[in-house]
Amino acid sequence: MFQRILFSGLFIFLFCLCIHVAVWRTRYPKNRPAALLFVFMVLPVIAGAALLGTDRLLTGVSISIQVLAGAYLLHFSLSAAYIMSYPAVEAVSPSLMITLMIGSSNGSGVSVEELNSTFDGKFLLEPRIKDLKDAGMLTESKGLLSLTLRGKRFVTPFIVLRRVLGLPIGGG
Amino acid sequence: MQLASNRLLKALKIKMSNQVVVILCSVAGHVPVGAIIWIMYLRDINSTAELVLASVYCLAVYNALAYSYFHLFNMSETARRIRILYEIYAAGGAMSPAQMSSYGAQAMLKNRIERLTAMKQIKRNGSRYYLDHRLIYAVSTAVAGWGSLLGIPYPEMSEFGSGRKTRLTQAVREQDAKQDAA
Repeated sequence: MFQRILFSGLFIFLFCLCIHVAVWRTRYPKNRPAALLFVFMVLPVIAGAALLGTDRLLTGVSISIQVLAGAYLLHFSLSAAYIMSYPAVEAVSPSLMITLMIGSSNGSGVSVEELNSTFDGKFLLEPRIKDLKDAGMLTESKGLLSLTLRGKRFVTPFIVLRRVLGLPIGGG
Repeated sequence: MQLASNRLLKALKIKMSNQVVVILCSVAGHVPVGAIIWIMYLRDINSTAELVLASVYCLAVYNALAYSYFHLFNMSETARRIRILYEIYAAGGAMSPAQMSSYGAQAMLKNRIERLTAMKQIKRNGSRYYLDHRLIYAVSTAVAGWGSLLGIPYPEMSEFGSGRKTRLTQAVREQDAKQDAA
């Protein structure tokens, strides 16, 4: 049974990954978080429900719910891991860029001054402020940035998580 | 476990990167989670092959979920967007962009360099930084490659010098343009 669950779960995940690559290369979605959730979370549920329904209709023997649930749990775990990693792919992550810069220096290293001049406010902050405005979490009015209700709702769980863990808010 | 570890480290005045704490807790978590799964299910499996496959399945699910939690926690630790939202929240709901920029960039860069150094991925020698262990460098290369497969523009870092900043800025502009066009 676990052989079926393992292979089914892996197959579903890899299939969703292929759909993701195809969609991103052909029709880059405007709302990428929603598109990711739809491809990886919703589509397999719809496909699984359709499979259950048609299988029962055609052969009179249903696919094991246990196998489907086990396969979906594996797919869900792998998808959650991928979706959580995705922002590092899309937004130029400074930590990854720093290591790429240093690693590409052919052993001569990178000076502190070069790091300071490369990673300035224009690079680090302005694109992210723009993202937040585009996502409806920030508004700008009379020269001031303000949180929207959506922004407050988004940041509150992170503040609560840090407080529960007894940690100050992260340094960014 | 993470909560207990943070309190213990604080009480013992031991400084450790928060991300390292999460990673160590995730690794240590294999023991209690494994014990629970063994007692509840695995010990009743008679076939060796089925037991191996079931163990592989449980390991895959646990580690994928632990990895997801690591990223969720990491967002609270390092994400610029979360930091920006928090700073405005803490300032009473409004802040000028100039105020944001002046505090932000240098502190964020310093935090990232400190974290990378604490995780032994880079090291400082005099006034220059060099690679130490190459794990995050390998991850960075893989992420850049995957981004290329998805058609997301990523800066070339193979040459150093002033051209690098131009390419970084250009890549960010290309990403913004792609997102605006979508």
